[in-house]
Parts: sequence; C-alpha cells; structure tokens
Amino acid sequence: MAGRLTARYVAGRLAQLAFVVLGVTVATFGLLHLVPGNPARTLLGVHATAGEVAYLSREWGLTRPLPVQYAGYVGRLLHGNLGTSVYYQAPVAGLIGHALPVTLAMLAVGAVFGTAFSVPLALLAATRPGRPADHLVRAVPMAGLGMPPFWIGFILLLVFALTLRVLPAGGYGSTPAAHLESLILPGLTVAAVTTPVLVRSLRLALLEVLGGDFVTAATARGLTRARVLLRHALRNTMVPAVSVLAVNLGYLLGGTVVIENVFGLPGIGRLLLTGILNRDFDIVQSVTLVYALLVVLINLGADLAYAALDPRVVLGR
Amino acid sequence: MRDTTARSAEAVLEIRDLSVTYGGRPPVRAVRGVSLRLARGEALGLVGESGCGKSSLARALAGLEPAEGQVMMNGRPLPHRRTREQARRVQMVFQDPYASLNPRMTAVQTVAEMLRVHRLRPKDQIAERARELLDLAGLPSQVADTRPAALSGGQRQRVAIARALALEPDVLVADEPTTALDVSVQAVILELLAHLRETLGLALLLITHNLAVVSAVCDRAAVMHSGEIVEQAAVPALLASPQHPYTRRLLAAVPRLGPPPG
Amino acid sequence: MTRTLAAGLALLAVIAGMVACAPLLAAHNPGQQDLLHVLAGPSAAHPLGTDDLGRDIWARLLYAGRADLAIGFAAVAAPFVIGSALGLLAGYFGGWPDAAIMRVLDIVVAFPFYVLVIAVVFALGAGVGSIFIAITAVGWVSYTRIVRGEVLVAKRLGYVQAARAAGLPAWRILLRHLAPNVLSQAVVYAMSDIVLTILAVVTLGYLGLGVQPPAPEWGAMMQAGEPYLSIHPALATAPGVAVVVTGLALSMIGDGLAAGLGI
Repeated sequence: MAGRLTARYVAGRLAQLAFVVLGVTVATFGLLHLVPGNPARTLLGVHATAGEVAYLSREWGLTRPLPVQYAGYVGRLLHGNLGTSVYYQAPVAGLIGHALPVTLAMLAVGAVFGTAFSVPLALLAATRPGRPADHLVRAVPMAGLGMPPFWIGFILLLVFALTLRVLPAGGYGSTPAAHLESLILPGLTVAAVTTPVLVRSLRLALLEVLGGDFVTAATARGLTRARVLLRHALRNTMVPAVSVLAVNLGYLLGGTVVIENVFGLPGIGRLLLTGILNRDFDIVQSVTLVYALLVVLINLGADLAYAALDPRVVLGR
Repeated sequence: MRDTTARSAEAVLEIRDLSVTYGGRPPVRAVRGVSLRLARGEALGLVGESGCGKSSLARALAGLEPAEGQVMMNGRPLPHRRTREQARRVQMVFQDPYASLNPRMTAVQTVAEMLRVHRLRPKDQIAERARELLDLAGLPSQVADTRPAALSGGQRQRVAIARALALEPDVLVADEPTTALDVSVQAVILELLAHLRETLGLALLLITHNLAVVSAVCDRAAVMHSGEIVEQAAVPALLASPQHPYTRRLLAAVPRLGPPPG
Repeated sequence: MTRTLAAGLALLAVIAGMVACAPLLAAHNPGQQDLLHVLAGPSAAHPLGTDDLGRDIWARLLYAGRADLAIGFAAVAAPFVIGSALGLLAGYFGGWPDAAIMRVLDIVVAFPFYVLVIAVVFALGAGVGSIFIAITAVGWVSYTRIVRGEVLVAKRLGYVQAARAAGLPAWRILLRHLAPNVLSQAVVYAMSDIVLTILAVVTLGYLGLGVQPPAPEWGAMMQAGEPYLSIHPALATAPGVAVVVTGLALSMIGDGLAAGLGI
C-alpha cells in the first residue's frame, strides 16, 4: 500500500486545521481582553488620559458586545486586514509581508546547518553505541537544551563578529549577498537550538533501524556498509526525525524571536518585540497570529508528508 | 407470586439477550445476544478461544462495559451504571496478577479500601477483617503488609481474590485467573476458588480457554464462539458427548479430555 | 542512582548553596553603585569586575540566581498540577471532556512557546506575576499530554478495572489509584521543564519583560551587558555561564531520573 494519504485523511486533517485556526483567532482576539478593565486602557498604557481612552473605545468599537467585536475581527482578517500600526503608521499586513521572508530565510539556513550538524553526529553515535563517541554525542542534547538561544547567539557574535571580524555583527544588509552573509550567524544559532533535539531522535531512530532486518539483509546482499547507512538506514530515519522536529516546532520557532533580536534581523520576531516595546497592539496581535498559522501549516505539511511516506500512520488520536 | 418471579429467584444471575458492541468503523459486535443463568452456589464455566467475546461478556457483567439486553440480579435488573450497592454484587478476578493490584498499596490496604468505601465494617474493625479475608484467600500473614512488587504471581492472585470477596458479592467472575500463573500454582488457585464457592455459597463464573480448568471446578459449562453461546451442558455430559462441532474441535485439542474413541 | 543523576544533584546543590549564601559569598550589596569605578576588570574587591553603574558583578550574579531559581521552580508547580489534573480527567473519562481538553490543547500548541509567553506577558504587563500566569497558560499542555497517555494505558489495567467494578467513586480512582502510578513520567518531565522555564524567565528578562531592573536577574543582566559585549564581555557572559551551568545541572538530573525509571 502506498501510504494512507487518502481523501478521507486529508479531509479530516483539514477539518481539524480549520477548528484550530478558529481557536487561534479566538485566542489572539482574547489577548486584548485578557486584562481586567478597559481594553483601551491596556492599549494606551497607564499614561493615557481618560479622554484618549474614551476616544479609542468609541473608535474601535470596544464598547460593543464581545461576540460582535469578535465577528468584526474575523471579518477584518478574512479581508486580509491585519490592522494598522500606530507606531509605523502603516498596515500591519505590509510590515509582516516584509518581515516574514527574513524569518523564513533564517529558518531555511538554520535547517541546512542543523541537518549538516546532526546527521553526521547521529551517525557517529549510532554506529558506535556505548563507545566514547556515543557518550560525547549524547551529552550534546543535555548541554544544548540548557542554553538559552540568545546565549548561543552571544557566543557566536563574540567569536565571529567581534573577535575574528569575519561576519557582520547584525542587520540584514541591502544586497542578496549581504542578506546571505547576515543569515549565517543567526542560522547557526537556529541550528544550535535544533541540533540537540534532532541528534537525540535521529540517534534513537538510527539505532532501531540499524538493528532491523532489512539492514542486515542489505549488508548480506553485498552492499557496502557506507551505502547501507546512507541509502537505507538514513532514509528510514528521516521520517521520525522530521516528525520530532515538527512536534518541537513551537519551541524552535519561538526561539527565533529572541535570535532575531540578538542579531538585529528585521524578521517577524523582531517586529513582535518592537510592537511590544511601542505598545503597538495590532502588530503584537497579528504577528502572534502569523506565528500560530506558520506552526499549523508546517505541522499540516509534515503530517501529510508523513502519511504519504509511512504506510502505518492512521488518522486518530 | 407470579411464576416468572419465582423462577428468577432461583437464579442469582440471569442474562437475557446480552450484546456488547464496540464503536469504531465498522463496529464490532463482540457479544451477540447471549442468555445465561447462574444459580446460587453454582460454578459455570465459560469456554472459548481468545477473541470469542468471553472477556467482553465478563466485563459487561461487572459493569465495566455498556451492553444491550438485560442483566437480572436476584430477580432485579442490574443496569450498566450501578449504585455502589449494586456494583458490589458482581466482582471480578482478572487474568494478569501483575497488573491487577495497585503497585502503591499493600495487600491489607488493597482489601481494606473496599471495606472502608462500602462501609462493610466499623472503622476499627476494618484492618482485622482485611487480614481475615487475606487469610481466607490463603495469603501468608507475613506478606500482608507488603506491596505487590514483593509478591509472587500466585500470592497476588490471592490478594485479588480477597479484594473481590471483601465486598461479599453474589457472583464472582474469574477471567482466566490461572492463565498467567506457573503450572504448579494454577491447581492451588483453582482449588481455592472451588473451596470458596462451597464454603461461601458463591456463584462462580469461570472464564477460560482451558477445558481442563472447567472440568476441575465447574458443574456446568457454556461454550462460546464468535460472540454466541453455541452449547450449554453439565460438564460430564459436555465432555462425554459434545453436540456442537466447535465444542468437538475444542475437545480434540485437549486429548486427555476428549471423548473416548468409538 | 545513576552517575548522571548524582552529578546533576551535586552541581545543583552547589549552585543552590551559593545563591542561598549570597550575603556571605559577596562582599558587596548587589544594588550598590560606584560611579567612579564603572566597567572595571576583575580585582580583589570585585572578583568579576563591575558593571556600567559600578555594581559588583559577582554579587549581582549570586542574587540574580536567587530570583531565577526561585521563579523557575515555583513557575513549574502550577502547570504541573493543572496539566496533570486535566490529563487525568481527559484520559480517564474520555468522551466530551477529553475532546474539549484536547481541542483547547491543539490551539495552545499552535502558538510557539516564546511567542505566546511574550504575548501574554505583554497583555498583562511585565513582571513576576505575569511570568507565572504566562508560563502556566502555555506550560500545562505537556503535562496533560504525558499524563493522558499514561492514563489511557493504566486505566485498562486490572487494578483500575477492579476499582471500577467495586463501584469506587471516580475521584477516588483518579487520586488513589491512577495519580500515584501515572505521575512519575510527569515528574521526570518537570525536571526538564524547569530548565525550559528558567530559560524562559531569563529570556523574558533579556527582552525586558521579566524581573524589572534594578533587581538583579540573569537575563536582565545579559541585556544590560549586551552593548559592552566587545569591550567588557564579562558583563553579559558571566550570567550566561551561570544559566548554562544551572541548565546543565537540571538536564543531568532529568536525564538521570529518566534513565533510573527506565524511560
């Protein structure tokens, strides 16, 4: 059987997705109403005058019943209107449109580095179980998980930008080449956050696969060990590894907020933080929403790919 | 009094047209319209291969599984959702002694909990009664205060039996109570069940795939196949002249008990 | 007890002992400014030098540890209790309570951890109380998932079935029979969760959303030291090292516990 990517599976998965997206909008909508008291006061901060608060309440319709406000919010979203930044005096959709590619590029560079680090490390450990190399590699997740992402960024910044002066210390440059150069250190930081998780799951999956019958069979058929490792074992390992990554996506993606801030990259994470510092509510609300949509969509992609590749997976909970 | 009531009064447990269906696509009908009667003090064997629905039937009787049809206890209906008093009427002993006891509770605590929740003894007599029950089930008193991890499989099953007896049930359902035990212990536990049935007047429903177990303990046996009872008879009759082809197949698998050739 | 666990516990004991004895180990008050000696290098008086306001870095490091460790450990308690309770209910009852809890969980996990924490702290206003609420709002999901999975397995076991057949009330089955047997996984996870929580507290501090200055806190110290990374790296790196060592100690404890329980 060629996987379980049936129409029913996809339909079920999409229905679940629709529900989650709806819930996500309830949550981002609720953000404003999380604080007891007047939401307009929340928006404007403690220094606003009573007149300003009253004006904003009227202007935003904050005095209407919550369900009406929520319907208005969703209607606005469906028209692609993500609000207006008070600080930048610009539509938030446009700001996110500029920032999102930067974040995605950083994640892509990070994914490349992450794979380049974790696959050899996992192979090294899994082919020598119990030996010093294995112990060393198993210590990586333990040490790595105890480090805040921004700390890893600091170290890289200190070594490569400030001491060796081989890479830019921050910003994004203005040419594609400069973009790429600016993405190396943030990408390495993303990789440093993903590698512990990846190495751990890849090593376990590899150990399982290497003990399996078909690797023995492939070796018996006269394939070289290296070929067996790369062609058979690794390929069978990628599926669980990718799904582990998808499960941890929320944590990894959240780390990008801080990493962008360390390196001054103009991605959506930095947009979120400037929005917070300026109490620019529409930015905070919409970037939070975009982050959630990103997680939901990547998870959907991973699930569908998983269903297509693995014949055993069935939709269920 | 009407005739039907009088007849029901003889049977401690009567099942009429009981079905258990598991949801899912497609739904599985594990038990299909089973009817059984169990008299006071009687030991009925329920025989069948794994997957024939006998455990589902047992779970339905113990109120662990919703079922269609009727379960009558002493002439009164016993619903799926039971009051505490109704729940205590049918108690169960499970197959796996390694999973049937709470690992965090000692043997005495396990039995005492039942007495306490059901208020079957005044507070100050609970511990004493729990030890009495464990003694009745043949558990050495030295291990009454140990946790299951330190007990053998047979000892654990004794604790499970004592726990069931604590509630003074009318019917004890034992689902493969010896299957997971060492051969040497199996006979001892079966003897214990037979002894308890005689001394306490307990009705016993013994579920097993093993006809030898049935012949050792039971008066009557019902053979279950694909969710249905295919044959019911007194044990000697069933062994001597099985009517249903499935029963014959089961007997053939146990050469020692098979009908004499010819 | 595994060697990893023992080493982790020893390391954590040293760290906890040092921050507990901060007044004895540090000669200076962490808030005491000395504007004549700002950004000084290590000396006998100031083992790690001084910061941009002339405050003793070593003293601030120790006192900051008090805040981070205390908040990190305390902030795990509420998600642990709430998440485990929801996991018990969802796993045991199934049906609509399960569906409702799991659908809410789906929504919470759609948000990246830091994004949701940051957004909640933004909405509530920076500060320790907001950190607790934000971490609880986000952190319960892991415990619910773990405990629910364990309950789904355990509720099929004989001791739970026997308790049900005996007509024991649901609360008693949940508290006396299920909880003591399914929570060990959640406890192991709590150890690694403390690491994540301390990192979150530090990160919020670094972003200016956590413990508010001038109170010493590792993340806030790193933020304050960031501009001086090239000329006076100790300012940002000393608290960083403290975080890393603490994280390592807790990770080792979590790993050791997991290995000890055969997980």
